[in-house]
This record gives sequence, structure tokens and C-alpha cells, in this order.
Amino acid sequence: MSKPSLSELLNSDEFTQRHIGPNESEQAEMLEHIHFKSLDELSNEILPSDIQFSNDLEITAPNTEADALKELKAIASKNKVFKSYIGMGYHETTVPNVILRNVLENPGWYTAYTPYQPEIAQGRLEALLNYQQMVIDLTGMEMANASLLDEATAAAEAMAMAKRVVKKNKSEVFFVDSSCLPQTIDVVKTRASAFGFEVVVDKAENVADYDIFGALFQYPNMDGSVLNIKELIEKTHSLNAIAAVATDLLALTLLEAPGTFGADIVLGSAQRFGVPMGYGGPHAAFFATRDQFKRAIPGRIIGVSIDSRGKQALRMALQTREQHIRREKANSNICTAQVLLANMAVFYAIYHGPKGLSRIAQRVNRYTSLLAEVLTTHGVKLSTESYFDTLTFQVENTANVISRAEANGYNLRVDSSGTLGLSCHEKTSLHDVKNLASIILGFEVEADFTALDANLTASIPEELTRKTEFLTHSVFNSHHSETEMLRYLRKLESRDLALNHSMISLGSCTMKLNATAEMIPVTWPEFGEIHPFAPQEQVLGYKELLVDLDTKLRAITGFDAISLQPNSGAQGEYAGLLAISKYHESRGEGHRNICLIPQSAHGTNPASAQMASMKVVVTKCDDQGNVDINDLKTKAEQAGENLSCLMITYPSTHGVYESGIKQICNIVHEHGGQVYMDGANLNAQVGLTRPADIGADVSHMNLHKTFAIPHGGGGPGMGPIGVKSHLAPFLSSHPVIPVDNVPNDNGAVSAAPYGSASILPISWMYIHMLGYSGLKKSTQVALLNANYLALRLKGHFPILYSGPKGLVAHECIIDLRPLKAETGITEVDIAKRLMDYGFHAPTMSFPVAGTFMVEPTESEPKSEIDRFADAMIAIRQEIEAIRKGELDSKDNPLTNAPHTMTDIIEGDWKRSYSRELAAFPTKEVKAFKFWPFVNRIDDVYGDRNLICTCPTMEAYEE
Amino acid sequence: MNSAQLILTVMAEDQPGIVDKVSKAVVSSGGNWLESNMSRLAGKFTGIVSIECPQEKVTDVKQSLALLSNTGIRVLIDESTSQAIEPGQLINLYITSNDRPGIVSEVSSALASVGANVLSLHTECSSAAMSAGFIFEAKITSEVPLDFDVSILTDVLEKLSDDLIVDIVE
Repeated sequence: MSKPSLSELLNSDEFTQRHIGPNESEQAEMLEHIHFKSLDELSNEILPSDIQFSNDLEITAPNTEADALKELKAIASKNKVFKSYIGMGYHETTVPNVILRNVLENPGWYTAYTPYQPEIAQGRLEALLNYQQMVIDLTGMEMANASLLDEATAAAEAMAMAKRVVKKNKSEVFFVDSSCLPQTIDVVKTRASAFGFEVVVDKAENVADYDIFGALFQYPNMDGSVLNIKELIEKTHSLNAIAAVATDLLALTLLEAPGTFGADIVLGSAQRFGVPMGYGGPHAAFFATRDQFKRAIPGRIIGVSIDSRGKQALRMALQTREQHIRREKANSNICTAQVLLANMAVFYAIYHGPKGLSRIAQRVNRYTSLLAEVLTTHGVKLSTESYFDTLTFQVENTANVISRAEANGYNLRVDSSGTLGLSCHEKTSLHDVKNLASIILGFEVEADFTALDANLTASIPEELTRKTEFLTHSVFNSHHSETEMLRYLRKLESRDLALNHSMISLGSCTMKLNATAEMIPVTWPEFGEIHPFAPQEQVLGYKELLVDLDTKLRAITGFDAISLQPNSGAQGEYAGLLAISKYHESRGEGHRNICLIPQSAHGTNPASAQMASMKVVVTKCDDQGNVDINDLKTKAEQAGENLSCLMITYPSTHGVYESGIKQICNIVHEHGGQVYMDGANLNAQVGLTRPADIGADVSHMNLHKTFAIPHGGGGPGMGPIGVKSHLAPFLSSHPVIPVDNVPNDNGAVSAAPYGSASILPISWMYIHMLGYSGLKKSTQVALLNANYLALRLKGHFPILYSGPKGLVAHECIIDLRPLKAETGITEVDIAKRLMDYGFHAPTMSFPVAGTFMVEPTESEPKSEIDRFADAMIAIRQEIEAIRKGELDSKDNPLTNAPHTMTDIIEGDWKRSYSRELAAFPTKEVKAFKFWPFVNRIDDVYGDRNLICTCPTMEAYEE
Repeated sequence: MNSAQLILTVMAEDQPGIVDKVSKAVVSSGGNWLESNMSRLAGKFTGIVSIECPQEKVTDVKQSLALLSNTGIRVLIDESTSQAIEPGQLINLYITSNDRPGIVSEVSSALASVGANVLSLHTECSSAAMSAGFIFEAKITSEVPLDFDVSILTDVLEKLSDDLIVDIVE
């Protein structure tokens, strides 16, 4: 027996086998089943030969989990964790430990998908409904959505929405208060210029000087001042314009709600409710408005409905507004938002309750006042009379103050004019107040704070002080012992089906393993407790991480430059299209505005094109599901000099590596257009081909798909874009932190320069542990798993599209339409019956209505793929029994699916099939059962009259 | 010579030659084909045809068309009373909503209630991406008086349910 070599014993590519589901012998078995001898033979056969990448990726070799963590820790330690008083929308906050461990660090919460199957998502849906209620209460508005990407994009969405809803107003001008956060102003201006609106930035009090369709104010503002928004809103309304207010949730516990003063839209960031600053993200933004504007609101809304037993049930409401339905007519291209972070923020509110939040806010305000008192007593002149947590002032020698601050580990804010600013926060102590005073004044301050406190006057004007109640619902007043909080979190978690239970084979979502080693660095303070605007010398760790990730992503995609700013795939699409538009403009071809999009494209594509003010022209697919090249050619010719770009997904959303892809790219280039490649299916490319080699000029990467960032129940995501060198000068810039190699005035698309930076370590770890060989193998096994599954299902369900030799890429479409025509059993029935088998359904009716799109990913073991195939085959047999009349066509396990415990304990079981078949259709299910919390939900009922606030406790108990 | 205008509603199982048979029946009995609008859906053929003929030929035309029922083509015949039509404006609407029983009826009642006349209606029902609920889409061309406030149409339709969205197409 030969002994293993030292290198084999080291086993540095161990993680590859942890990440990949089937082991070597299972892979061999599956390869044999589909008549292939090796993974290389398989991938060489499936991918068109003219796009195959035959080298190794220029990425490091595999690393063990321990080695990778060690390496990343060393990088992270180059970040300096200072006490951050910069404010500007990002504040230090304490994540309650019970939330940290049981939500942020819990795969039961972070591996869930967007709740498109609401019956198995009631937990996070309730959390999001609570989030909406929290926002509604604090803002004083009538309705709120379930999060947006960040405060700046929320403000841009508010501008777009204002234009949609304003009546009898022909203005194209939007007013922005000059004391708004600078990143907000930049993102709004960028969005406005794409839409063709004009933005005027001026002091808030001058709003009435302009003829506008809407205005945005900041409350409290950058100077710290608490503006009289009642007056500002009245002025805005007198111009027949829409009034939007950007605000702060903690401040709102002490400030009167903007809704009370007639605001039309209220928005902001929920970061300071227990979500780490994370060098810019991820954080949930909130967005609230009037009920009359509900059709115009962007993002997802959770609404109350009922299930088939009349029990109250939650689900995503009014989907008719969203991009997956409305496409280029959608209000917004937003898809993935910030669900995990919204849930953390509302749990923070539940944990503290209204009194606890008020106490924190009062403490923050009081410390700010004490500091103000000490400073003014010693001759410092504050810029503002009113404030919540922020003081701005000038000193004789700014540089001295900054260097003293630095020496003591504090970061203050310095504006371009030399004005100093600071914002107190939840973690501020009296000790900090003393230190800050000493730093600013230049000598050791001695103060009797108790005495000072007794004589303080209010820093918030009486008429703007909070009088309306908030968070009165019992959910915010109930879980105040840690035991209750722990159990409430567990109760909600138990209602949700996530990846820690079974495969979620959603096509194009790439629900692969989110390995623990990848997640661990996210909560390191060196990554989590860094302010996005911290001085560059303090973030050398992040700089190194971002540069290395940039290098890795360029190697994988073949692009010349990367922008890490877009914080979702749709945001990446938007940034990429903007770069294309700017490129054409720079060459005097700004008239190019036609965007060709295949009819099979994801809804965000046309929605993003519309946001970039492009005219969408849909191109046809042929009978094989591939882009009809003749139709493309014709439309490119028709577009002629006005052709801007093509948006294409590769492999196609139909799961096929279209052999004509290079020809398609050439046609577009020949007509002067650019090729945008949607990276949603990048999991079928990594290591085997590269978007840049195929012919793409720009592509986004969904890091929350291909690169293992967990889906979080609907966010966070990250959508960086890669570009060829000719587009590099047009990437997103940032007004506060200059982005390397990018002109400062390109415009920002996200609030933070590097998007949701603190989750980038996840993708870095993923790439670093797998290495060039593991990445390639992962892709090959993704192809293997998909083709194995397709072959197992083939005899029972038609596979809709495939490439030559009947092979698919990393996903396949199962056609359920013939069954529906024959038996009346719909794809919805099958999806709900899969819940009884313990599975989340695959993607429904996209890209083809009446089908499932199935993507197992490389992480699923053979046993799980077989279990899924067995479930689908068993369901097929149930349908056959219905067809034959052996099961009743109206009363059968499919039409009654999903089955709940309540169904099974029915006293008088009158159904035509057994309880056993209903709930335990296989022995594996019997051994490990997930119970859907509600029966099939009636969406139509809930949407007739939207209810998006928390029902009373009695309603929950029924 | 008095001229009568007849409006024919034609219904049949879709097959080649329907238009041919109907037009031959009209012409051979002395009628004149003016205008028509036809469509095919789910294996059926339907159409509206406007014809005219001399008053004394009306009976012949009606008999000739009635004979078509032997070939599976049913024709309903109405005499049209010519009216002076007030000039109005045409509004193109695009409606998206959850599908539910009776939606077409609700939409048409709502439009009628504000005096809007439906000139054309194309509807489609499809399984929505991701959630697979049924989405109803309708393209409507509606005629309203010249001084009509278009937002009235949007308001009355949006009252039907929260998920219903109206786009006025330019």
C-alpha cells in the first residue's frame, strides 16, 4: 500500500470537497449516468468550443479554511478601529448579542430566499411586517416598504416617485436641500441626469424660489440642525410639488414625525438600529409614503391576506408594481433589497421597545448637549441652535484638533470648508464627552456633568418635539427579557424553510453553500466597526482586501477594471448601462439610446434600461429558446445609429450555452453598440469561459449568487461590475471618498463608495479557499448536477430547452404546461405540493410561463438531488392518478397542498386520500418534517385591499 | 335608393375559408362589404363586419347569411342606425392586475360608469414570473369626450382593487 504524500496529507484543497456536494465516487456515478467519463469531458462537450477558456484562472491555489481565515485576519488587522464621530448617515451602534448570534450569525435566517413561496416564509414575513410597522410609526406615514438598498438610492427613488405621482405639474426640476448628506445629493443628481431631470441644490428655506415637481429635505440635517420641516413641507405643497424628507430613526423617537406635518415621502437608513457600520454596508433603508401613492412605491411590500382555511397569512403584496411583472414599466428596477438587515433593525426595536429606544436617543441627545455646553462655555461657536446628535463648529486650528483626535483614537468630521463636525451615538459615554471636549479645546477638561445636566435647555425646538406615540403594537412591548427575545426569534425562524433544511433549486438564483468560514469575518470588528468615510490610513486592511478581490474578479471575468460600488445585481445593471451611455456621449454619440433585450431576459434588465432612459426593443427567441439571430440583426439594423447596447444573459435564462453568442456580440459591435452581459448565470462560466472573452464590454456579478454571499431572505446582495478598458473611465465615483482611477464627477450609484463592503470578505474567502482549481471544479459539478437531475426527470417531465446532445448548462426548465392542459394541475399546485415533500419549489414561470426552472448548484449532494427527483417523480405519479380518475380532480394532495398540522389533525377526515399521503409522502419526510405554517395563501384577496401594518394580537392567535 | 347598413357578428370554429364564404354570401345576395375586424383565439374565429345593401335586398342578404350555418358559421345580423357621432379623443390604456373572476366585467363597468366608450379590448392572462399567480393584462382603446379629464379613468379603475395599475399609453 503506497503511503500518502505529505502534500496529500496537508489536503490544502479540502474546502473544495466541503463546498462541493457529491464526493468523488458519487461524481463518477453521476457522470456514468449521463454517459460521460470525466468532468472535463462534460464541460468540453457542453460549452461551445469557440468560447472555452483553456488556461487555469490566474488565481491562487486552494487554501484550507484555517489558512484562509488566518490570512484574512492579518489583512483585517491593518484596519484601525477608531471611535467614530463622523456621522453623515453612519453611526456606531451596539448589536444586541441575542440578535447577533441568532439572526446575523444564524443560517436559519441568512440562507433563506426572497419569500416568493410565502407559505414557508411566514417567519421573515412577520419580521418584515413588523419592520414596516416600525417605519410607519416613527415616520408618521400610512405605509412603508420592506426596505431599499440605502438612503441615497431611497432618495433617488423618492425623486422618481415624485415625478410619477405629482398631479397638474409639468416641471422637470427637483429641489434638493443643500444640507442633505453629500452622498445622497450625488446619487440623486446621477439618477436625475439619466432621467433628464434638472436638480437644484440650495438652502432648504429657498425652496419656494423654484418651479419644481418635488423637494427633498434632511431632518436633522448635515449641520446638525433640526429644520422646521412643517414650514418647508407647506412651502413645497404651495408649489404643488411632492415633499420628501430624509431622516434618522433614532432621532424620530424625539422629533415629531414628518408625516404629522404632511410629508409625502419619508426615507432614510435603518443602520443605527443595531446594524454594524461595516465600511458602508449592508444596511436596510426605509421608505414610507401615503396610501394613495401605493401603486407608485418601489420595492417589496409585505401585506396581510388569508390562507385557504381563512387563517391570517402574510405575503409580498402588489407584485403587479414590480420589475418581474412590469419590466420596463416598473417603478424601479429593485429586486434584491436588504431584508436580513431590515429584520435586524426591527429586532433591535423589538428588543429595546419604544421606551428603550427613547432612552438611547435621549442619552445621545443629552451627551451632545453636555458637550455643546462645555464647548460654548469655552468660547466655541456652534453653527446651529438646534440639534439632535450632531454639532458643527469652527476652531482656530483645525489640523491640531484632528491630530489630537487621531492620537486619542477618535474620528471627527472635517468638511471641505474646514468646519468640524461630530455626531454622538449609542456607544458614546460621559468619558467620551470629556475626551472630545478636551480634544477640541486643547486642554484637559474637568466638568461636573451632573451639575451641567441639571441646567441644560432643550436642543430640539418645542414645536418639533415628538408628541405622537410610536411602537405601540404589542410586538414592540413584549419580548424584553432575553429569554422571550430568544424564543420569539426561534419561533419565527422555525416557520421558514432555508438552505439549512433542504435544497432550494431556484433557477438563476444559485443557492449554493454559504460556508461558515466565509461568514465568520463579517462580524470581526476590524471589518464591521469601520465608518465608510474613515481616513484612508485607517483602512489599509480594506484597501488590501478590495484590491485583491478586484484582482481575483478580473482574473475570473477577463475584464480590465471593476467597480465594487453597486450593492445589488440590478444596481450593477444600472451602473453598467450608465457607463455605456457616458461612453457613447464621450464619442459624440449621445443620441444612441436603443437597448436590445431578448424576451427571455430577467425583468430587472428592461427596468434598469428604462431607468437609464434607454428605449427598450425586445428581440425574439427562436423555437430552441435561443436568441433569434436574424431578428437581432434586423433590429440592430433598424436601430442603426441609435443603437446603444444589447443586454444578454449567458448561458441564457433558458439554461443553454447559445452557440451563436460570439456572432451576437459581433453584430452589436458592428452597429456601434456595446454588449452588457447579465451575470446572473456566471456560475456556469467560472473557470470554463469568461464574459470578456465571449464579447461582453461590461457585466455585473451577483456576489450573492456565484460568490457565496447568502441571500438573507431578500438581501443583502452585491452587484459589482467588470468593464473593458474603454469603459473604465465611466465607472461610479463617490463625493466623499475618491475611488481610485475614476474621475470624481462621474456620479455615484450607491451611498457608500464600495457598496456593502463588509460582506465582500465572504466572496474573498470563497475564492481564496477554492482557488483556481476549486472554482473550475465547482462550475463543472454545477453542470454535472444539473444534467444529472435533468436526465432523472426527463422521462417524467419534458425538459424544455437544451443544447446539442440534449445537454443543459447549470439549470434546466421543466415544462409543466402539457400536464396542465391534460389534467388541470398547475405549476402552483406542484410548487405547493413540493412543500409537503420538504422542498422549496424551483423558479416558477420565469423565463417561460407555466414552467419550473431548476438549478441545483454544485453544493447539493447526490442524495439531495435524488431526493428531489424522487419527489418530483412521486408528484408526477400523483398527477397520473388524477388523470386516471384514481384521485379526485378537485380533492387531491396537489390541489390541497400545502398541508399543515391543522389539516392533519382534522377530526373528520373526509378527503379522498390519506393523512399519511398528505403529510408524509415519503419515509425521509416522515423522519424529518418541515411543517408549512399556513395553507395555500390567497394573494388576490390580500391585494384587493392592501393591509401592510401589524394586525392585532387576537388576529395572530386565531 | 335607400341603403341599409347591416352589422354582422360572425362566429365559427376556426377553419380555412370563413371570410371567403361570408363575403361570397354577402356579395352574391347584393350586399357590399364596408369594414371588418376579425380575430382568432383558442381555435375559434370571430368577426364584426359592416356591410351595406339596397333596402329591398335586405331579406336576401339575411337569408344568404343564414344558410352559412350549414357550414358551421353562425351570423347574427343587426341593422345599424346611423347616428351623428360626437368627436371625441382616443385614450389608450394598459391595465395590469391580479387575475380574478369577473375582472373584465368590473373593468368594463367602471369605464361605462364614467361615460368612456370601449373601442377595442385585448386581454391576456398569464402565469406571473416567480410567484406564478395569474396576471391579467388588458390593452384598451377608449373614446371619451374632448374635454374629459383622463385621470378620471385612472381613478375609477384603480378603485377596483389595490393591485390594479393603469398606464395611459401615449
